[in-house]
Amino acid sequence: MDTDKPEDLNKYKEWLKKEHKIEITSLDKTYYESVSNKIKQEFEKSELWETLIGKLKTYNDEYYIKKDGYQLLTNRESVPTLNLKSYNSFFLKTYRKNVLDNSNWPNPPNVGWILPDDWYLYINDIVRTELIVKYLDGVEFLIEKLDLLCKEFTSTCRPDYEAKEEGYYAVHVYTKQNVEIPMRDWRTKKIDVDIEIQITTQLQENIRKLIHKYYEVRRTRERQDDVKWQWDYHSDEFSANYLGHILHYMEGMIMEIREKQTKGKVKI
Amino acid sequence: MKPEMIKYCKSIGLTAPYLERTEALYEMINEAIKDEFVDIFIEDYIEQEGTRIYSCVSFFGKRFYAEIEEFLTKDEIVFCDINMIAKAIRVKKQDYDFKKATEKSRLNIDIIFDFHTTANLKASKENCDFLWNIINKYFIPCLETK
Repeated sequence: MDTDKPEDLNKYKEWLKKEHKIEITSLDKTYYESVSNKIKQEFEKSELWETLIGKLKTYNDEYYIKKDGYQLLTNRESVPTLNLKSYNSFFLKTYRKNVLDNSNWPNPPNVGWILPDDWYLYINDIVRTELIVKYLDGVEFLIEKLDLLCKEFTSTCRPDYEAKEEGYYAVHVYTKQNVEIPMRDWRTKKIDVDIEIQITTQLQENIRKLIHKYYEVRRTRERQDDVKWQWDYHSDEFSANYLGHILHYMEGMIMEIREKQTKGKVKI
Repeated sequence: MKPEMIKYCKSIGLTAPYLERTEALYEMINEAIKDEFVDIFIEDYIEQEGTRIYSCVSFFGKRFYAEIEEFLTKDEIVFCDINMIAKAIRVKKQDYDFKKATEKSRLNIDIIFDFHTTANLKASKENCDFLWNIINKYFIPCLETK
């Protein structure tokens, strides 16, 4: 067994071939696109998704009344869309899970090796959407609504509170969708896949676009402790990441002031 | 609230929480003043990023009309004499032909009363038709009697 971690995606492909007899070709991309499209189509038709789209305005309006005239969503009229993870991004994620983030290396990660036969089960954001709220408390408000909605349709609802060192803050809510996917031999099989609903604030959404660029580069390589971005104050990463943390703090402060104002408001 | 009022509220896009609030206000003004409130108008406008804001509700009765600004969050009611004489009506419109409103229609109306008091009413989309009906029913006749 080769104990050296593959350093990049090309080495990862070689490793897959050598250790698992799996050759990654252009057919894998085509197959991935066919499966991911099927997942998206199925979820788009689901009662859960249709109800969520239909109820977003109502959630916004309930919050507006409850919170004394503050809007929940950045745009009450907009309808969220479902987005597909690109094949490159998907393949990179399998590399991270199998290699970079695998603390058991050279042994398999806790869930076992994530390999083409069933790797759709282990990547939880093949189909995702984003809901953007105006204020920090809107995140929790929406999670509660999603939880109720999932219960109504006997689906799962698992919130994951993301707070990354790199200044990324958002909650990813996962729900399951049962999908009949095509197999490589043209038969089909039914699988339960995660659908990711990202809930973030308007300010975080703005900063995320900046941070994402550095995050993409960093997650393709092994972390080196001697070049911590926190000490490299000349770097773009330093500014963008700390801006993410500062904004999160500011959003907390905005909420505190807003709540104080609401409490102290003389109604008559 | 009268069925036709509920139908109106729904037709201009009021969701369940907003409708519930409007109904509660209607019950409240009926308790406060003995009149038969037969018509409703909800002022609305579209913010720059596209959000539709419902800003003020008015109920029209035989003797009074009741107006509640920021009605979704406040309980501040103004009762006015329905027979207050309008001296002039200024109509600012956009994509509206006074027949059938479209998605792009906007109506902004200033009503100038005696003693230099004014009222401003705004409507967007399908609500323009309702606003113009209200103006025709309650304010245009006042101009004619002058």
